[in-house]
Amino acid sequence: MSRREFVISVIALLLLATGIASSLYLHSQQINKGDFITVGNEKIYMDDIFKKCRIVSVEVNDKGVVKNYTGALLSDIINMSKVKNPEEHKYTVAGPGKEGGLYQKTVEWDDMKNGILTEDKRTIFPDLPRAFWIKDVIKIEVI
Amino acid sequence: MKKKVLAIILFGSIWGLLECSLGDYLHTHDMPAGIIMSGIAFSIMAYARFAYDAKGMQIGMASIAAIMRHFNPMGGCLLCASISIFIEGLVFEALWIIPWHKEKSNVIKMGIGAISGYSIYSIGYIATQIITPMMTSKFYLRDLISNLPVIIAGATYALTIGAIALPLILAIPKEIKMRDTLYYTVSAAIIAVSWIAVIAGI
Repeated sequence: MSRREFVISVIALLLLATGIASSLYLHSQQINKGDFITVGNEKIYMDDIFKKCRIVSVEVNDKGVVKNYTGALLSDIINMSKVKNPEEHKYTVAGPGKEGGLYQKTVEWDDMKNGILTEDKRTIFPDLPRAFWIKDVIKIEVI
Repeated sequence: MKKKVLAIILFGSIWGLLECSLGDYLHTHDMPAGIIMSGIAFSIMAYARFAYDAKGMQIGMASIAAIMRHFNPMGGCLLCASISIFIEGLVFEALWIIPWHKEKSNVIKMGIGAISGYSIYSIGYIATQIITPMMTSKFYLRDLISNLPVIIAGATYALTIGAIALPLILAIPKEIKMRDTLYYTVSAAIIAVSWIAVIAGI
C-alpha cells in the first residue's frame, strides 16, 4: 500500500468511525413518546391542550399548495405551563430525529404566538421555514 | 470551451430537475432525501470532473441547480435546499483541487468517494442549519450541537454511497462519440425539458 493510499484510507475510516459512533449514541437515547409533551419540567397532556388552548387555523404555502393546518396555539400551551414572563424566554422545540435521538429548533416568543401544535403533535410556524417545523414533538424547553 | 459551458448548464439542469422532482418525492414520503440526493449530486459532479477535467465546473453546476431549486414552485424549504446544493458544489471543488479522477488505485477511488460523500452531505447539512436560521430567524449554536449526532449518523450512509459510487463512475466511458451538431441539439433539448418541467412544477 502506498503512502497516499494509507493516508486516504485512514481518513475515510476515521470518518466512518465518527458516523458509527453517532449512530450508536442516537440508538442509545431512549425517547419516551406518550400522549403528552413536556414543557419545562411539566407534563402537559394532549387532551388538556385541546380543551384549554385556543384552536386556530393557519394558512401555509406547502409545496406550492396553500394548506390549512389547525391546532392549539403554542403560546397558550406555554401559558398553561405557568412559565413566568413568557415573552422574556426562548423556546427549544424537540422531536425525534430520523436516526433516533433528538432534533431541535429554538424559536422566539413571537414565533410561539403565531405557531400551532397540531393533533398529531407537529409544530407549524407559518412565518418560519419548514426546517423549524418539528414532527412528534416530545418537549419544549424554556430557556 | 463552448462544450464545457454547455456541459455546466446541462449537468446543472439535470441535477436541479432531480432535486425538484425526486428530492421532493423522497421528502414527501419521509425517505432519507438528503442522503440520497447528496449521493446523486456527488455522482453527477464526479462524472463531470472525470469527463471534462475542468476545475470550477462543479460550482457552476451547483449554482444552476440551486437557482432551479429556489424558483421551483413546488418545493418545500426552498432556502435550505438551495443553500445545501450550493455548499455541496463548494465542498466538491475544495476536495477535488487534487485531480483524484486521474488516480488508478481502487483504494484511493473508494477512499476519496467515501470522504467526498461524507463531507458533501454533512457540510451541506450543517451549512443549512446555520445559514437558514440566520436569514429567517436567529441562529442558536445549541441547536446545531444538539443536531450534530443526527447529521453525522446520516453522513455514514452518504460515505458508503460515495465509496461505492466513485469507482463505478470512473469506470464509465469518458467520451460518448457524437457529432457536434447532435451533441448541441440533444443537450439543448435536455436543458429545455428540465427547465420547463421545473417551472411547470413537476
